[in-house]
Amino acid sequence: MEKNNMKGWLYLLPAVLFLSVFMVYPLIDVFIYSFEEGYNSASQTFFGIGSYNYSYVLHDPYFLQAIKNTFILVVITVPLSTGIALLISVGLSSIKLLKELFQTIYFLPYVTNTLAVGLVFMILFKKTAYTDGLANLVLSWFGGSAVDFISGPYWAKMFVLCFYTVWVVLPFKILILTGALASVNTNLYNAAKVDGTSSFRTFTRITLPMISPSLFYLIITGFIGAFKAYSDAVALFGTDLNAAEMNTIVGYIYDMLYGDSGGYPSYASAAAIILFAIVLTITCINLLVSKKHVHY
Amino acid sequence: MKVVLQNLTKKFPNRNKREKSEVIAVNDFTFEIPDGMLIGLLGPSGCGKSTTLNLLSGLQKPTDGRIFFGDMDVTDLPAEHRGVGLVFQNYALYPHLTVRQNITFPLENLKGKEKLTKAQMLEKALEVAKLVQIDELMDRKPGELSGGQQQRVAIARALVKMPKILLLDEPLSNLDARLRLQTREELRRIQKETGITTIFVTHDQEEAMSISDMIVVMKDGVVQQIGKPQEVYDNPANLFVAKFLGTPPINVFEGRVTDGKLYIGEEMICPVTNRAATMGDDNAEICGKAAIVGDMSDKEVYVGIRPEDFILKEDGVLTCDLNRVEVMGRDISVVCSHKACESGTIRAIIGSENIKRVGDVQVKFDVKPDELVLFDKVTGERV
Repeated sequence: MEKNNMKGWLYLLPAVLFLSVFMVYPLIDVFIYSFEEGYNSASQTFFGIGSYNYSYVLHDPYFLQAIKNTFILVVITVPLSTGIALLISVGLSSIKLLKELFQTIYFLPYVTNTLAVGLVFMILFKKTAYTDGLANLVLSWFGGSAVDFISGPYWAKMFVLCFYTVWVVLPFKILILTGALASVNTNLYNAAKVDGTSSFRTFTRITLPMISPSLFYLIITGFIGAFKAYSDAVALFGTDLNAAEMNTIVGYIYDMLYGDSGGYPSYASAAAIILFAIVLTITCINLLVSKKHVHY
Repeated sequence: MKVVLQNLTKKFPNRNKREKSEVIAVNDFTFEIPDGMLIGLLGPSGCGKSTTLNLLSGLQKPTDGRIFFGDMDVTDLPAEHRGVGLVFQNYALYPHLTVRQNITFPLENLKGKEKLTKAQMLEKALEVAKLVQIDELMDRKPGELSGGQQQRVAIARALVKMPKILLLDEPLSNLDARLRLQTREELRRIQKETGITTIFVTHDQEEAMSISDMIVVMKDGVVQQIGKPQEVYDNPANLFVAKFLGTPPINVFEGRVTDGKLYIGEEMICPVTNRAATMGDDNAEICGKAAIVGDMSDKEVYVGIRPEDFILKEDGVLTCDLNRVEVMGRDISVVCSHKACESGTIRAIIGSENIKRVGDVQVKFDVKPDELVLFDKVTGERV
């Protein structure tokens, strides 16, 4: 028994080594930084230990803006993208003609570069002196007046960010869900059919429970991914996100480290720990909810 | 409710797309299944028996022909409106629901006048669970049940809405030998108690023979013979049916009919007589002494002899080279060979009291002439 344990640890060693050096140690370090007041990375000195960093960050209007943006992004995009992906996957699994073609089309955004897509979105939505942009053209057909989605009002910018995020995360979700749908035993559907089950009830009582593990996986990773959003906002609104009122928590952390206002690793660490706490809480809630609704 | 199949045909396109030919899974089935009977659809794999079941359930549409339940034509009725109960080969229980929820699932689909209250559903579920003896397991999930228990749940789920017809696809194939024996008795009991017309598919001839009121033997999408199990066993319509039924299988010899006598190799076995001659009253003279045929003309034939129809006799008509003797307790199985035997080895089952009388090198057998079945060498049909 004792010998076997040694062997087990030996097998785990490479992973444990890498994880502890590159994951656990930095995590602890960040935690320590977040309590070191006035830390200077050049001289590696600090004045004292306390919760001032947290207090500063939590009173910083830019951070509060970032939290607000991130939460709006999470609350809107996670349910929306998962729902749309589910609809598209169900549609894809029920057609036969051109199925492969549609699958490829829906998967294309996944292999496209985020920044390139951001540029395309900017062109679609931006209003310049010469043109109102494609989005505004469509809007004008329905009698709307032109809005600058990229540097206009807050709600317009938020709309573009959510739209973009949903569009970017869709392919992966569709891929996972079509796989999950295909792996449901067709005999279950046949059994339900013979028992006279309506297609809506078949979907809610059989399909959804059977794919619930994949769905749950997507929701959890969706939440985490949305909380960590940053590059999407940069792709659309440029690097000065604070000025655009479009900063996210990760964006704020980045700015604190390297941005124009950079050089504040303590504030960045405090913000990172706050983000960690938020993600941890949400994931725990997710896990609790899933116990009731996910069937393995 | 009786079930009538009329010229039922199902064709599938060939898997190999370059080939134009279609695969005919079910070829022109016409037969009637009387009300309240237990019917076994029997045949080797790929003979179209599962397809027939799927056509009956409505999961597949026939290419041609009609299906009637009672007097109603259900050919174009979708599966959900046919009111059949179907038990799948792998049971297809809903893994995320408890046994109770699995059984009440079909009841929750009822609409309009048939709609039941929650209490009525639970009552019905409990009733049917008691029938299949799983009322102790109602709160378990299918994953926590043994194969036999899962099978009962599947039957309960199929029975709970009191279907007019119950269909079972290889219901026993996932069970071990002992459980299979036990469950097939159960199946018979449940069918008797409910009186529901039941059609089940199997490739196991013993299973079909032991519990069915009627068996339908199929091969390559064509019905070979329909009848009561014993009748089909005793009077197979062709060589395929004869070979397919019975364990150990029937022994087939190459023989010929010449001048009203049956020969196997050079040995004269017995006289043959016309079937019509055995119908009368004064047939005592030929009864049990001659092989019965429909056509007396001279021809080459296959002679089928069931293992249990051999009689060990010192001056027997058939001389075989002894290979070995297998002791099976009540009976012994004499394995021997004969040059006219089609498969090379012959298996004869005789009472174990005869073990001392089996020779060392050769054994001689008499056969029961009226139990012999003769088949045309070319067509394989009974002569």
